[in-house]
Amino acid sequence: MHFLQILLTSFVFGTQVMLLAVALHTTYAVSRIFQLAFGAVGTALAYAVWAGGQAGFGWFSNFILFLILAGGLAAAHFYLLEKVTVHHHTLIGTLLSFAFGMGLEALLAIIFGADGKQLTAETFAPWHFGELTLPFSGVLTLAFGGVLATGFVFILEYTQAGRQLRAVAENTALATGQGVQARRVRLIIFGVVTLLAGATGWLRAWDTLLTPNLGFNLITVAFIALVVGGPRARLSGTVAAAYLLTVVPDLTVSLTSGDLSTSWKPVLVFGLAAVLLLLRPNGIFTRTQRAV
Amino acid sequence: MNYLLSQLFRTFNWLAPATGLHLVIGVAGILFAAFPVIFSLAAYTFAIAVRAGVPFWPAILLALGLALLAGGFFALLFVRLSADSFLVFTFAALLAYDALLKSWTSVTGGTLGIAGIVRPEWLATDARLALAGGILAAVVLVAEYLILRGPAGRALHGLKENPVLLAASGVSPARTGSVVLLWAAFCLGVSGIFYLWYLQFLSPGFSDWHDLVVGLSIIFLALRPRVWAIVLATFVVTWLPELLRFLPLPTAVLGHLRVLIYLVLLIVLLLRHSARLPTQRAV
Repeated sequence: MHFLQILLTSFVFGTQVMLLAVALHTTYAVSRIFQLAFGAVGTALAYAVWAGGQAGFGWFSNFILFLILAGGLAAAHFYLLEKVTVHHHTLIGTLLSFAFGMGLEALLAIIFGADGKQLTAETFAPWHFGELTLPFSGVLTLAFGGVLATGFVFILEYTQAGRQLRAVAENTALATGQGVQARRVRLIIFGVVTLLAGATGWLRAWDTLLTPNLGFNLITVAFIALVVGGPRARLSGTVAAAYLLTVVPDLTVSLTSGDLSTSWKPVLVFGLAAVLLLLRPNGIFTRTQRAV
Repeated sequence: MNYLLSQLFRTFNWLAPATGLHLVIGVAGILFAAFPVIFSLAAYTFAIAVRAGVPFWPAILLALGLALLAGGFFALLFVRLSADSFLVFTFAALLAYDALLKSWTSVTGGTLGIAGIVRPEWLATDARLALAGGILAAVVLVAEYLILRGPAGRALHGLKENPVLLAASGVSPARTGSVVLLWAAFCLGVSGIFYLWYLQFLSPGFSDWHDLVVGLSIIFLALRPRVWAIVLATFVVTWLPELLRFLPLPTAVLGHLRVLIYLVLLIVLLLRHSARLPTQRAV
């Protein structure tokens, strides 16, 4: 039962990482740029929710504030990177996104201070599943994660918007020749993914304390998950990598009875990632073609 | 006076690694994000060796040796990986190294770091430290001038412009890139040790993301393959945020504002650099 409790708890963090990794994977697919700013974007939106709560906004007003800020951040992020995306300066784009994210974190620290904040003063009773216990924020994370991930897969596989996205990801020039407006597809993706990052930041802040670098730890693992899952491979690889890289280190630290402290978790994440990359350099679920 | 000497030392100490990185990133076009790792690794190696009782000069050799080893490791990766993968890996290496420093508390002291690093007697005062930094910077700048003027400089240009043509003319792009990475690693190692003597304290924040941003800002500001460009860029980037000291701002905000200035500068420089790169067909 102890093992299952640890598994359940680490699944919550894994779901948060998975959501950001999906965001990274989707934007990489249409731009070939690692959008490292999404961690900070999620944190900024979580701060917006907190600030709205402090100002006495109701949940609906807070949600509108969240949407407005998400739109603004998505537009700023998109227009900052659009030219380098279009001209395929992908390495410069990765550095730009990284600088944008770090700048956003510095701005949050200046405006809100570096001390941790509680997202909400309300307390909710934990949920019990037999002998297993999960805090309400964890239940929300798993529920949200399931709904968002399922929705994403449905949109990608079964809707015209998803087909257009996959076309742009596969071959932008050909997709444009077929009448798909690649720029509009990228803008919509940035908007949707910004909302996803915001939801992730909000869930994470509910789980822990809200600090300016809240998203940094998440985006780090999400980025590693994307690399391990294969940036150009199927989304399922990234999702699997996100859970592997969170659950396995958690279990290792928790079940070694104090031999390894929690501070070793990040090292275990990288160690596991290195092993997975050695075994599957192109992605977890990617098969290499026959070599002749 | 101490403030000026201190700031002068910081500028000189940035010149050494910036010169090495100028050759790697600016001239050869190798985007390398793990240089704070080598900078920090040399400092940690020296501090740990001295604490373990290793004599002064062997500790320095050990630290520089490890810095070169790390440079060699990254050189090997440069040869084997594509440019995208190399940048991603060097990013990941920075994250992994930071995690290792914070986790390996028995050796590195974790987040508390290592305190009580003693400067050598001949660097006891700030003036001597600034002078030593200046001499180091001068030596490295002269070396860069000679490199840029010689066949090595032309090979680095060729590596950035057209590696295939460089190979066709009989110069190995892999070896050119590897050698310049090793040279940068040496410069980073030396300046890491000097900076450790300046701070006399070591922690995971000794060299991290902030130094990555500062370093990249200097390089992208000084993209011209000229020695004066790197000198000017280093002075501008290291002195610009010092203007903040004269503003009546709370100290808690100053640090973050300094970072924000560097990041805005970096974004502007990256956009400017991107605008000058050859463009592919736009869709």
